[in-house]
Formats: sequence, C-alpha cells, structure tokens
Amino acid sequence: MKKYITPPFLGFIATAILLTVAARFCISASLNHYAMKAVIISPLAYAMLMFAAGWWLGSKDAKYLPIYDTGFRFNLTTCIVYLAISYLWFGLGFNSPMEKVSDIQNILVIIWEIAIVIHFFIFLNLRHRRSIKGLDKKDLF
Amino acid sequence: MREENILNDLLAAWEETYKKGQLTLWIFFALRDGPKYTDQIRRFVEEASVDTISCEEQSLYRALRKFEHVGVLGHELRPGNKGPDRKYYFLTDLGQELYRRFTERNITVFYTEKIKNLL
Repeated sequence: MKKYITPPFLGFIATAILLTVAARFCISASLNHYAMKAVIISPLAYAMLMFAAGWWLGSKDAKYLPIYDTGFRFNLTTCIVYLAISYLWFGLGFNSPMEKVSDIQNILVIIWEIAIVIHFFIFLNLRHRRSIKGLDKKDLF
Repeated sequence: MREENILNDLLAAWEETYKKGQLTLWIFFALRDGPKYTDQIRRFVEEASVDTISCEEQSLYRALRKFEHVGVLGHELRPGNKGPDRKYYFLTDLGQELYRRFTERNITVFYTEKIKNLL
C-alpha cells in the first residue's frame, strides 16, 4: 500500500485539502454575505481547480512511477477529502446558517459516489490484464 | 554531401528507436557485475557502452524504482563517504532469472555462426 503513495500523490492530497477548505470557506462566506454569484462560482472554480490539479499531479505521478490505476486513486481521494472536510466543516460549526448538513450529499455527490464504484470495478477489471504488480506493462521496460 | 546527411539522419532515427528500452539491459549488465549504487550504475553504463547509451539521472532513478517495485531489483544500505547511507542495488533471484531468459531469447542469437559471419 505504501508503494502507491508517491510524492506527487501526497502533493495531490495536500492540494485537495487546501482547495476543499478554500471552497467551503468561500461558499459559507458568500452565503453569509448574500453574494449569490460567488455561491455559484465557488464550487465551479473548485471543480475546475481540482480537475487541473489531478491532471497535472497525475501526469507527474505517472512519470514518477507508472502505477496502473486508471486515475482511481485520485478520484477516490478527492471524494474522501471532500466528504471528510465538509462534515468536519459542519461539525466545527463553520458553516453558514443557510447551509444544511444534508447539502453535502446532494444529487451530484451521489452520482459521483456511484461513478467511483463503477470506476473501481473498471480499475479491477483492467488491472489484471494491463499491469504487472500494479505497474503499467507498457511503461515497465 | 547530401547523401551523407541523409545517412546521418537515418542512423540517428534508427538509433533512437533501437535505444528505447536498452537502458533496462544495461542496468541489468551493471548489476550482474555486482551490487552498485546509482552513480556507479550510471558510470558503468556509460563506460561499458562506450558512451553510446546516455544514462540521465532521472531516467535511471525511475527505472530503478520500477524494477524494485516489481521485485527484480532489491537494495541494501551501506555507509557512504561521509554522507548518508547509500542504496546499493542488486538483482534478486527473479531478476537473475528474467535476465537469463531475456538474453537467451534475444541476445545469444547474435552469437550464432551465421550472424557472427554477417557482423
């Protein structure tokens, strides 16, 4: 397991934590100030920045070690970080009075969770055929 | 002159394709010679290949990480000169067997009489 936690992947985890905290702060602050444009822009910016971070650090991760996971580690990590920080945000009372804890599990997040389960089975299915000890066969030698 | 330029271009293109994947074999050669740390492997490859194989540090580290991950290489720490311990890489039993089978199938063919005469 330790072998799959590469320095670029650790960088991605740190980036995901920072961006999620920043997004939660922006959403809660925007709601408190009735800045509705910012309420819409914040999650969109968060999604785009997370995608860019995953793309950039994912390519660095592949250059470090060609782990064959079809991006599953990055997808799962993003979801775990999002849920953990969001529940912590509410647990610590940093949320706006206009936010409800049930908003965390909105329809998009439920779709995302289902997509992660599908992604996991795709990863399991391809891993046996296209990797040796978890590394991409085509980038091994 | 023009033909010489074309010849050089063709040679460079062929060598570029040919050398892809060669680093693995040269790393194995280096470690067949005995356990070595990264800089020794790099020097061995450059000297033994008469500088025909370039061994960039990043490529070498990446290759060693991959081979260690799949279990064909291992390493042991030995004291370095004044600095921190050095990683000495060696071929595992799996690596030795992989090398034996690969060379048997792909290298020894160059030593048949027919090919030797052509060379």
